[in-house]
Amino acid sequence: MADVPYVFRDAALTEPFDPVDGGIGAWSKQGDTAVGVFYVGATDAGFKLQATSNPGVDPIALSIVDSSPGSGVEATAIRLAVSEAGLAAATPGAALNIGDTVLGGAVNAIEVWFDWANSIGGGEYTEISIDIVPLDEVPV
Amino acid sequence: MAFSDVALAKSPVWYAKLDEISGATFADASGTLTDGTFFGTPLFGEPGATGEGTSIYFDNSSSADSPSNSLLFGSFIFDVHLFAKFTAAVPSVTLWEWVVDTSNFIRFTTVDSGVLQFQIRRSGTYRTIRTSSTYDPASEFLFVGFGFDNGTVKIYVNGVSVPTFVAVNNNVTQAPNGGGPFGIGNNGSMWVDDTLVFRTTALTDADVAELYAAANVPVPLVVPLALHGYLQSAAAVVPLRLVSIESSPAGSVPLLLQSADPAHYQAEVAAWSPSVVLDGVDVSASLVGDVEIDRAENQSGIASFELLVPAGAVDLGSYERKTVAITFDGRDSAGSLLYPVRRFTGTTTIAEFNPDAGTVSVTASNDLQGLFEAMPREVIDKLIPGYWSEHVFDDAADGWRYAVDRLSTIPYEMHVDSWGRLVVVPWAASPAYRTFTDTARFGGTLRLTRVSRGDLITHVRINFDFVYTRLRHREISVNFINTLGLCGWLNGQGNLPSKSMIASAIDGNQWTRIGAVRYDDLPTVALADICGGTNFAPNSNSPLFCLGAHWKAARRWGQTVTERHPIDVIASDLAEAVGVQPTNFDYSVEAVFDTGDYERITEYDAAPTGAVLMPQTADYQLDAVDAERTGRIAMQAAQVCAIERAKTLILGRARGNRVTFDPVYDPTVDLSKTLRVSGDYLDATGKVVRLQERLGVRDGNPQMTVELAISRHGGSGVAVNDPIVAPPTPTQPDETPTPRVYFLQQRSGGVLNAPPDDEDWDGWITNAFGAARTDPNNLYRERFVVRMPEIEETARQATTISQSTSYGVAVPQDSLTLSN
Repeated sequence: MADVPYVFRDAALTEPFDPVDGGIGAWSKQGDTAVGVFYVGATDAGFKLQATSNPGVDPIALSIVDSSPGSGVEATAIRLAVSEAGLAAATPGAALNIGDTVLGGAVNAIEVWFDWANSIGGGEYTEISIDIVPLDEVPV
Repeated sequence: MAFSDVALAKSPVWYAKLDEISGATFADASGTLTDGTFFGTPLFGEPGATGEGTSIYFDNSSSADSPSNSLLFGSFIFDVHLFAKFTAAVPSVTLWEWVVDTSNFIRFTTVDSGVLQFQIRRSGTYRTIRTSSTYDPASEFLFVGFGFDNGTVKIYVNGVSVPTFVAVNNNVTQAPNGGGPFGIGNNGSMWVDDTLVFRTTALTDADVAELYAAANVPVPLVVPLALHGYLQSAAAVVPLRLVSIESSPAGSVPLLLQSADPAHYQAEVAAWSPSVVLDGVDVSASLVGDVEIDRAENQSGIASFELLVPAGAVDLGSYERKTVAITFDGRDSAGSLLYPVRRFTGTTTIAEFNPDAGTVSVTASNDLQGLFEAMPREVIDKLIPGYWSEHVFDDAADGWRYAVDRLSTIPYEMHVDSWGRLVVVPWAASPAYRTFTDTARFGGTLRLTRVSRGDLITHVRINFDFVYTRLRHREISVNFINTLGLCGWLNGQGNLPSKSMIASAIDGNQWTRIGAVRYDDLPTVALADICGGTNFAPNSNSPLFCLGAHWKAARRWGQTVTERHPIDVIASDLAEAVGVQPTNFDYSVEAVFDTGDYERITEYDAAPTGAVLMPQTADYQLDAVDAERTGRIAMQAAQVCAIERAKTLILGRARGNRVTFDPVYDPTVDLSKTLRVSGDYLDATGKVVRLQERLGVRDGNPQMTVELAISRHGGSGVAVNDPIVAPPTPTQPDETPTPRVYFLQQRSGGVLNAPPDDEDWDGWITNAFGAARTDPNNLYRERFVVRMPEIEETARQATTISQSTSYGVAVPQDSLTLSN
């Protein structure tokens, strides 16, 4: 598989996210909450990211997608926020807007945190994904 | 309403409208006092300021005085406001004054080229307030005045309270007791119109503004000019910047969510097996021996495992620098997978071949250090909280060192979790995530190791020096008073100096003249039968000479100041238990400033912008501490950083106690957790500081060694954490006062018993002439010399001021109970 554009595993934007290496992981025991994070950004500080649909106007939206609704982990068990501290106030299952523009450079990358309220039995679950709208990378 | 109506409505106790156009007296429109008297020859009928009546011009020999009275006798509140038109070129003009005697008066004047000055003297004690700006109305009236309210003084210009500063700050809160005349004019040239005095009830800002508004002082008209022109340009080149936008399709980031089942791993017998994915390939089937994982605070996690290799050539390089993911799989009694638990994510570092066993031993690291090495500092700042200063840490440090330095200023630790994610969490123990009570299952591994006394720190002394340049500006009044006087010159006791000679001498030394020179001129009218029968008649040369001269001179220099901040960070609870365990750190910040330019430039006519007249030195001072990286703000940030670092050091050492044990395997335990171990003989709660895991391929029973950090102070527990803010600036001590007035003398040679000429003299050196020359063999070289005083060494030399500060630290007392 190929890298997911503008998604990185690390804050320095040196590890592009490739699903072949496994999803963004999190685990906990049943009844606990697990957290994970990835980063959205452009490595070149001379560029910026905007939503293709209406660059600079439409928000860059990330949504929670459940490939098997009704079984396993539900989308409503996931919350998204741009900081770990922000998760507590996030709405379960809600999409996350990270602004209409993300400036390039690691320092401007957006942290995307998720938490999972684990109320399910032991196992490994892969039906949840975070989808990102098409993006344009344009000069600043 | 007319100005006079507004003024009278506010009940002045004295109101001189000065609308007289002739005569020797003027009226008090308030009706309080009897008529006042004009002195000298004022000019009547001049254009007025209020739209009512006229104004009066006073030269330096005319004035208007009320009869002597005690109207302000002992008053705590009074206001005086008047319309005046003066010029700043006149060194000093008395706008209004009330004089009981030389030790008791109130005076409102202009000084220093247009500064408005209020001065009150009661029983010989001064209080002087000056405006921060100068005013030179020249061609239009200003409505100026002051309000005095129990020692608080406001000065108003055109209805607005203007910024002032306290030039002499003695505590005078009351007008003098006694009586005397109110005076307008004297000692200057100016036009004056309506003058008002109030007492008992202070005028408000709104009152003064209303008075000014009532006068309808005309605003100068501005006639804009419409000027048209055109620009002509050469041929232009417009470069095109063609950019191709890169678009990406919608992206999808899958999540890998693993749920561990407590019913399984907390059961009597739970089965586990290791799984290793190396460079994307599952090599679990090749595992032999144990898979070991060792993670600790602030260190890279290490994992090791051993693989059987197939027959044939062995390429160790194919095992190194590859991604590796280790999972422990919980299995049921039949061996079926219940759930996986990721235990390690990293990169292999080295592989070693064991030819006897046909295996390759692989070591991997999650490379905590490598995460930061190439990371921009701005990104590290987002990931690692804390403080950092180039004056405390190495500015040339790489990303890892920078991250560690930041972390050394807060009680936090960092590690990489089992998914390879950087985790930064407080190291303080929180409520226990889990309590392990079944010590029978620890297999005799429970141990407590106390931190040695020598590793503890109770007192940190930070010696913090801040070195900077204090810009000093000294002003002194210089006075040449020709003691010969007019008579001495007329009688031949010496010549008079020319103004040009004096001006040349003034500008020929290291001091800078501030403002104009005020000369004591020769009389402009003929005087007969004076000085013992001599006549004086001015001629065209008279204005070229003078009887005296007065000016202000200034000198600037930079003085090196060292602020010495001995800062103590003290954990008193810990010291109670183990005694004082000290350590020291030394830091220094030197504010960058080029003093040379400051001292070399002599073209100025006032104190430096921002300089303040300091009572400790009687000089204007401005500390050069604005440099972005080395100024006071940066220095104070460095102080806070150093203090936080010291505090963190104390706290970190105090949690050096360790409890270790091997509990039944719990995959949910990680470095972020606080655990409690509660046995018959030891009960302790602390945060996990190290975690080691081992899982054999065939035994199915993971071993886990947990190490807890236990913070203890052992004292009474009364210490508190003081807020950490930068220490206060040390107080500047008083310097030994030196005169701010300098007098130049006059000396005459050619007379009997005169001392011989001395080239070290300054002032006016001349010779008697005519009949007064009684010793023609002792003539001086005629000259005017200005030899200004040197700045004293104590004001020039580097100085050190000190300020000690102390900060308390409360060491947490984690639960720890021992019994036998």
